[in-house]
Amino acid sequence: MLSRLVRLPSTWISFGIILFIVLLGFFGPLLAPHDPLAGGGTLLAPPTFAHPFGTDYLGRDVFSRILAGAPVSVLSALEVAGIALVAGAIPGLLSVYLGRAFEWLTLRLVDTLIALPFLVFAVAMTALLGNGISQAMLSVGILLAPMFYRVARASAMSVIASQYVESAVLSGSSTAWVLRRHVWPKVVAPIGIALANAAGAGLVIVASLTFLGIGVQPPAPTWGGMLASDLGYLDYQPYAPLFPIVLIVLTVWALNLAADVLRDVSGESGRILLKRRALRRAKKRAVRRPVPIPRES
Amino acid sequence: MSAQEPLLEVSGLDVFYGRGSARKQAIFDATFSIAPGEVVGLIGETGSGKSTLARTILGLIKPDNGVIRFEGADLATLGHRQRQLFRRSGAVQYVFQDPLRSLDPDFTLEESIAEPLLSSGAHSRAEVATKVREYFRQVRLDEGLLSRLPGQVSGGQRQRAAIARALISEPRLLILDEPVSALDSANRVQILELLQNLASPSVSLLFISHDLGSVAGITDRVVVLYRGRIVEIDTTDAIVNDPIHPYTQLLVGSAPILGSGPSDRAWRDDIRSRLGAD
Amino acid sequence: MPTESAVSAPIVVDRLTIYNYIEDVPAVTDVSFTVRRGEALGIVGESGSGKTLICRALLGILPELFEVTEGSISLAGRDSSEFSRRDWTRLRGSTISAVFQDPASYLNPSIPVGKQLAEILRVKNGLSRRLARERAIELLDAVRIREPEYVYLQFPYELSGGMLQRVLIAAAVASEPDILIADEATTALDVTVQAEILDLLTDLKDRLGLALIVVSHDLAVVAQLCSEVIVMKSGEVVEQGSTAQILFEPRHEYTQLLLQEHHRFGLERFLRPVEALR
Repeated sequence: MLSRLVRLPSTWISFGIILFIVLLGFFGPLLAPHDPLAGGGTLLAPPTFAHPFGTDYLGRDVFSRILAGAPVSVLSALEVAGIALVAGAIPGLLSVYLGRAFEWLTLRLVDTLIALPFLVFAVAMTALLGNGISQAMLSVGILLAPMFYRVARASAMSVIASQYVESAVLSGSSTAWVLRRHVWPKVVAPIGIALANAAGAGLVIVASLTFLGIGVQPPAPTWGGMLASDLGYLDYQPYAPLFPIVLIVLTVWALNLAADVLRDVSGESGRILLKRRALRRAKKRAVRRPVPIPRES
Repeated sequence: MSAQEPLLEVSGLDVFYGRGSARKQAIFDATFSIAPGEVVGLIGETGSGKSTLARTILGLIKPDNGVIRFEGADLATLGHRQRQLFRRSGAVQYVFQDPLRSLDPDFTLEESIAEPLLSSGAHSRAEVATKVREYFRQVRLDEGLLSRLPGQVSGGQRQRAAIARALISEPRLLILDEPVSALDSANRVQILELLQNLASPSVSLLFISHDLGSVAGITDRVVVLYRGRIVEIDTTDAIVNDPIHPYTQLLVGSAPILGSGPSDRAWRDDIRSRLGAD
Repeated sequence: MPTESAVSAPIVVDRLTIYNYIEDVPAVTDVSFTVRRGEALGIVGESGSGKTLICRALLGILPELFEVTEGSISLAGRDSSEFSRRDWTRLRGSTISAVFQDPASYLNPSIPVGKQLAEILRVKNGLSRRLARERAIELLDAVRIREPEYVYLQFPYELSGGMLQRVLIAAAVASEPDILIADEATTALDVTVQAEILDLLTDLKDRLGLALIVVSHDLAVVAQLCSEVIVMKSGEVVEQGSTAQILFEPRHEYTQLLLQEHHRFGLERFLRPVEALR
């Protein structure tokens, strides 16, 4: 699977962008040329050499604010995906093993969560637990958990129903052995795909929440928060929202691309896709050389 | 054959499936036995209950009545832990029809064959590796294939690997479910030859098939199952030449035979109408 | 070379070669045969021997990147290489027809089988709704389905594999074709059902004067129906001749292997000479 992965250009593009964004998340604040919170410069200045992205309505350097806002925006998206993974995948796997009662309970819980609208739930949670980034991430993480629950459960169920698991059981393998050797390797790939998707969704939701003023209080910079304030000054700086928007879109696109790449190289659909690609290559070859050399007999 | 204590003795076996009003009987009062070293064919059409019977013997389905005695011990009453221990002993092994599905697609052939020994944890890795190679040779597979995945070898090679996996725990009874029906002729002959050489006083074989013609030549005795009931048990010779039950007659009469045209159609229609009247 | 009488035969295949552009190798090399009305030709070979590709070439449905590069196929006296898409559409069903291995996958699961059969009659033969229904019931009766009016209304899942295959045979002969191809049409069926379907095919061949092509991996099935047999292996004809010649004087070792499979592992091993004459 790995060898197939490295051959695809989309792998390099998507993982390259993700790596760049994650590095930005860790080191962004250190690279900021100005204090992201210090105003006092020219208000709403266009891009100059000193302020490559210009300044905002308080005269703060936009470039520095983008860099400084990266950790909250990016790392919180990853944390959201992590929370969703733990809260979703583990019950999902266990639902196949722990018997009907647990299965019934978790299924109903997941149905309930799916029925809740994201933003409303997050707003309600912050109203309940107080307005803060960890409360926001927790609520978003829990809302994304059903995605992992379903993926983990579906792939575990198909493995459990397979003949090779029955065959292992017939030779006396324990449940722990079956889980470790047969089930786990099969569910890792789909969970990885879900993780990339969830991180993308998480980023958008965190940005939406900060846009609404939930999670992070001004003046702390976040991409979503900047977008919100930029919209108030469109008359003066119509290009300003582009800076956070491009970063958000780029990150989400790269994460989705990574999810697609992972899906394509793993499992049955991946094999079919690669076969189709081989067929297309063969077709090109056949067109190049239309006359076959018939075998003489 | 008859004087010996049977290896497997099934008696009065009733199996039901479904719940409530959908509950139906799949096996009716099945009684038969397999002697040590014997090769028995369990023949029946689709839906006759032959797979249910095999799965009941393997402990995958719980019988509602009856006794399954293996070397004197009743398998039907084993608890969960005892059954796992019995399975680890490897005394009864099962070969599925389609090795592409019964071998984990992400396990190399070596890992698949070693699994029964490794999962019990009673053997050292070096010991297992030697044994895997020994059985790989016995089923006449090239050692170069050990690190291949099931999808990377031919159908015949896959089925050999599946047989090696079943043999590695040195079973006394090997149950084979349509072991050659997914293979082409060259591989059928080779696999059947391999299995024929395998049968010895210490290993009995139970062939499950819908097609008497494909496995008759390797069996000593045949058990004919029809609509959940065992309708005839006899030596293969007697089944082929003097079938008694109408269904057995129809089964033998329907099999395409080399060098002879189709059997008399009116005769077959007559039997079919008699069967329908049951 | 086609002789005077062969020209009038519904199907003449001359030195047919099919090339596989995906792997850049010939898939079928140099196959020639002629089938006249009321005659049956058998093609035997394992999976991947090219027998199904020949059938597909005859029907004008070769998979992508497979092409006829040499030789010719003439259907009802016309060279198939000149056929346009529309010619093929008209020809399929009315001149050449086929049934395949898995009947269920050729029927829409949510429409009663009779309705699907009537639809073919309305499209291909331009019958009115009422006439199509009548003719469909007639056809179901002709393939010896009991209570055709009742079966007409049944859905595919309500019918057994044998019944579905009968329905598909009825569909295949609905527009009175000259040629019928049965590609592994009985492989997935129980032996007793297989015998009935083979009877039916023989029946239709004699009654309607069909040129029948029977493709199977089992030499005994083919030998029972056909007067001439082609044995194929990896795209090449290894032996071709009358059935008696193939059965009793096989020259190629692959043919011998096919026979050996029956003699060693089939019913033939037990049959006494008297029985073989049955």
